[in-house]
Amino acid sequence: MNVKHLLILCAAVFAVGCGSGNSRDEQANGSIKSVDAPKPGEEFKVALLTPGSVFDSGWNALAYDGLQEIQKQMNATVTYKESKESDIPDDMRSYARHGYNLVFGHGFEYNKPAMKVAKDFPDTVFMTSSGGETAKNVGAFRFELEQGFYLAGYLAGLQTRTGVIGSVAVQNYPSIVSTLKAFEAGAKASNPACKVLPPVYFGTEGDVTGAKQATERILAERADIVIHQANAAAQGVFDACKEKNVLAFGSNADQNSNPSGVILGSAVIIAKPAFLELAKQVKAKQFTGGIVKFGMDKGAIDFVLNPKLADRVPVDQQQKLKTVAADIKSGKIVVPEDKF
Amino acid sequence: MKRLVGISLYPIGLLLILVATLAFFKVPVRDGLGLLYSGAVGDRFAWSRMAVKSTPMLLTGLGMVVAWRGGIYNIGGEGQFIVGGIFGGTVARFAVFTSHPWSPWLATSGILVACVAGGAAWAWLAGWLYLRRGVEVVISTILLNFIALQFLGYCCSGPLQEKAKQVPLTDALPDEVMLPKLSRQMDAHFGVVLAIMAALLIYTYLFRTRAGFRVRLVGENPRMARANRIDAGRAKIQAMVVSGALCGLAGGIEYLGMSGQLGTGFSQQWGFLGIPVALLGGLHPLACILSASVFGALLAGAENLARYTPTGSTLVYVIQAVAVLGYVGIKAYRDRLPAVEA
Amino acid sequence: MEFISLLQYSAPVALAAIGEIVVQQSGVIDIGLEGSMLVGSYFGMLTCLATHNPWLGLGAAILAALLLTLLFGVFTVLLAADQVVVGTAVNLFAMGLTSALFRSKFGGTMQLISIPRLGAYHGIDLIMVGMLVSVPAVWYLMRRTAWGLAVRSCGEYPKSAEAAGFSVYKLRLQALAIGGLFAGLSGAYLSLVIAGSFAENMTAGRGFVAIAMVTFGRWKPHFAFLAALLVGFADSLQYRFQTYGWHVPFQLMIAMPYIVALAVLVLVGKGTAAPGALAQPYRMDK
Repeated sequence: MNVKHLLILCAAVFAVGCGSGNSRDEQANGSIKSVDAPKPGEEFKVALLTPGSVFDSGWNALAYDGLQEIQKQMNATVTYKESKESDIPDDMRSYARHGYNLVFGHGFEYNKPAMKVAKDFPDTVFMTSSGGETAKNVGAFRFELEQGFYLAGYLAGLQTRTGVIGSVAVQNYPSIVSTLKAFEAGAKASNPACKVLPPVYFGTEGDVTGAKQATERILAERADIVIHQANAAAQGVFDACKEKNVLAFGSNADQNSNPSGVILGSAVIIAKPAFLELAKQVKAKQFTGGIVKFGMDKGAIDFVLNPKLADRVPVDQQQKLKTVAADIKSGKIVVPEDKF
Repeated sequence: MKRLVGISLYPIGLLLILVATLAFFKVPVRDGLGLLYSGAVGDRFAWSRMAVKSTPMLLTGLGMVVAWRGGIYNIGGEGQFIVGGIFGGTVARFAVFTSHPWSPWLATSGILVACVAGGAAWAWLAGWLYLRRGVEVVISTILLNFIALQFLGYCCSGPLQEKAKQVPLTDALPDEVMLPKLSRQMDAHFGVVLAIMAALLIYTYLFRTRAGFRVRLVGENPRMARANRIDAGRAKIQAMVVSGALCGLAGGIEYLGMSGQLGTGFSQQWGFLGIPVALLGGLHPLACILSASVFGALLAGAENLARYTPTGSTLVYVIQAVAVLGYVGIKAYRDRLPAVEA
Repeated sequence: MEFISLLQYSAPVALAAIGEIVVQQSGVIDIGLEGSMLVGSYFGMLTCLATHNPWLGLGAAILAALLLTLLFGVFTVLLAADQVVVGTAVNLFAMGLTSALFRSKFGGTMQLISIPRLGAYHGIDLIMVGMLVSVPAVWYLMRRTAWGLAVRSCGEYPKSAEAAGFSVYKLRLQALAIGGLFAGLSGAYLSLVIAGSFAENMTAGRGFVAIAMVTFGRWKPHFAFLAALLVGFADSLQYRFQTYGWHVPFQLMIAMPYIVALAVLVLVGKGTAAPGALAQPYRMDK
C-alpha cells in the first residue's frame, strides 16, 4: 500500500512540474532573476559561489558586495549560491551551460573543481579566491588581508598596556590562520616583548555565545586588545571587550561604527573595485588566466582607524602606522602570507 | 474510491506545501515551481543530479529502516556517515597516496570496505553502550554525531590533510580510483547502482533471512521474541551494526563517487535526511527507493531554485520540513479514520 | 566571578534541559528542542530590535518557542506521529525559517546585529535567578504535586493514567507547554542576555546537548542542572587550554564536553530512571 502511495506521489511530482514548467528548458530559466535583463547576446552574466551565507558580515558578505557592484556598474545579470563540497562541480557546470560568462568561487575549495569543469566550457571564465592552479579560463585572485592584519598587529603592539594581545576565530581555515599569523608578526615588529596569545577557535559559524566566551577567556589572560575572524559571530567578541572595557579590531568589513564603541580600527578588504576589475577584464576578453593579487598597493586592502577613538592613538603612533603602511604599499615591508 | 481520495491527498498536499512555501518567501510561484521541476527532472543533467542526491539518502534511509525495525532509534546516521568517510580516507592514504599505490580497482574496493567498516564500528559503539551500560541510543548517537564531526575536522587539518598542508582537505582521489561515471559532464556514478542493489539486499535480509526475521521480531514484539528464546541484545546489536554499515557505505559512495576528498562539510545532513526517507518509505527497503527519489528530486530541484533565486538555499530546509510534517499529518489523520483504514 | 560566568554560559543548556525533563517525564522526547530555542532567539532579537525593550523580546521569544513546541505537540501527541521524525522536521523547519527571514530582513547590509540586553547585576540576571529557582520548583512540581504525579504516570504507563481519569493528551500538551517556555527562555538567554545579537544557527547544537543532559541527569532537575554545569565547565576548560597554546587540536577540545557527557553516561551505567513510555506515541481510545 505504501509503495502505491509513493508511485502516485512520484507521478504527481512530474505532473506538477509539467503543469507549471511549460516544458521550458533549463536554458530559459537562467534569466529568471533579472527582471529587466538586457537583450540576449549583449548581456554579461556573472555567478558567485560562496562557502557560507553571503550575509555573514565577513568573508562571504564582501564577495556579495563585489557582485552587487558588478551588477550596478556593468548592468550584468548576477546570481549567487551557497555551494559546498560535492555540489560545487554541478553548480559550476550548470551556470556555464546557462551561458554565464564568469563564475566566481569564493574560496580555496573551488580551485580544483574549477580546473576540472573549465575544460568543458571554454567560453566561461572561472575565478577562485585563492587556490594555486590556473588555466586559460581559470584564474585565481587573492586578497592580501594579511597586510591589514599586520598593521592592526603593529598598532596593537604599540597600544597594549598589559603587553598581551589575542585573537578569536571561527575555524582554522587557511585564509584565517594566515591573517592571524600576520597579526602576530605586526605586533612583534612594533613591540618584540609583547605576548601574542594563540588564536582561540570557537568552531561553529554563527555561535555568538561561543565567540563571546572565547573572547572573555582571552581577556582573562590579561589581553587588552583583541582581533577577530569571527564573521557573523563577531558581535560576541565586541560585547565581551565592551564589558571589560578593552579595545578590539574589526576585520573584513569596516566595523568601526559598531554600537559597542570598542573598535579602534578595522582591517578591511575593499572588494568592489577588485571584483569589478576582474569582471571587466573577462568581459573585454582580456583575461588569460593567472593569479592576481589584491593588496594595499592596489587599494584593495586597508587599515582604517576609528575616527571616534582616534584620540586614543597619539600622533607619533599614527605617524609610525602611516610609515609602515607606506612601506607595505611600496614593497619595502613584505608581510608574511601562507600559501593556499 | 475513498482510498483513492485518501491517497491523492499526498501529492496534492506536497503541491500545496510547495506553493505555500514559495509564496510565503515571496518567490514567484510559477517560476519557482518551474525551477524546481527543471532542476530535478528537466533534462538528462537534472536526472543525473536527482540520482546522485537520492543515493546517499537511500543508503542512510535503509540504515534507519534496519535499526528502527529492530526497535532502535538510531539517529546517529550522520556520525556513522562521517566516520565511514574517515576510515575510507585513512585507507586511501595507504592505498593511493604512497610511493607504491595499489591497483585502482583494489584501492576503490578497499576504501569502500573501510567506509562500511567505519560506519559499522561507530554504530556498534552506540549499540554496545546501550546493551552493556544502558546508555539510550538516541542520546549516545546524538553525542557521537558531534564527536565524529569534530574528529573529521581534526583529521582534515591533521593526520589526513593533503600533502601541501595548506588547506583543511584531504588529497583529492585520482579519477581512476573514483567510481566510474556516466559522462564527464554529469555526476551520475556507479554508486547509484550500488545503492539500489543495497536496497534489494536489505529487503532480502529483513524479509528472507532468519537473522532479519529475528531483528524484526525483537523490534515489533519483544515479548514474543523472548518466548522464542531470541537473544534480543544480539539482534539489536546486529541491527545497529547493519544500520551503521549502510550509513558508512553512504559515506563511502559520496567520497568515491562525488567529493573525492574529505572536508569539514563532508556530510550535508545525509544522516538526518535518512530519517524522513525511511519514514516516507514506510520502513520498507524497496519503498525507500521511491521515497529517496522524491526527496532527491526535491533537493535537486531546490539546488536549481537556489541558483537563480535569492532565498533559495535556506528554503530547502523549510520545504523538506513542511513536506515531512505534511506527510506525517495526513498519514496520522487518515490512520484515525477507520473507514479509510479498512 | 568565575562561578557566575560558568552559570551564565551553562544557563542555555541547563534551562532547556530542565524544561525537557518535564516533557520527557510525560513520555515525549522533544528532539525539536534545538529548533524551538532557535526561533526563540530569533523572534526575541527581532522584537527587541523593533521595540528596544528586551523584556518584550523575552516575551516574544517565549511565545515563539511555545508555539513551535506546541506544533510539535499537535503532531506527536494529538496525531500520535513519531516523535523523532517530527522533531527532526521541526529542527529543519526552524533552521530554514529563521535563516530565510533573517536574510530577507537583514541580508546584504554587512552590519552585525546589536540589541539592548536584559539588565544584570554583577553578572546575575533575572533569568539566571529564575533558573536557580526552577530547579527545586520543577522537582517539587514533578514529585510533590498531583499534576506532577499524573504527568509522570503518562510517561510511565499512559493507559493507567487514562484509566485513572486523566487525559493523556492534555497532560502531555501541558508538559510540552512548560518545555516550550523553558526553550524560549533558553533561546532568549542566548540572544538577549549573553550575546545581545543574533546570527544564523546561533544555538549551535545546544538543544541537542540539553537533551543529552536530561539522560545524564537521570530525569532529575538538580542532576541535570549539575550535568549542564559540568559540561559547561568542560567547555570553559577547553577555551582555557586553547589560550595556553597547548598543542592539542582545537577540534578535539571542542568535542570535549560531548566526550565528557558520554563518558559520564557510561560510568553512571544502567538506570531505570527513564520514563517507561518515553518516545512511544499514544492513541487514546475513543
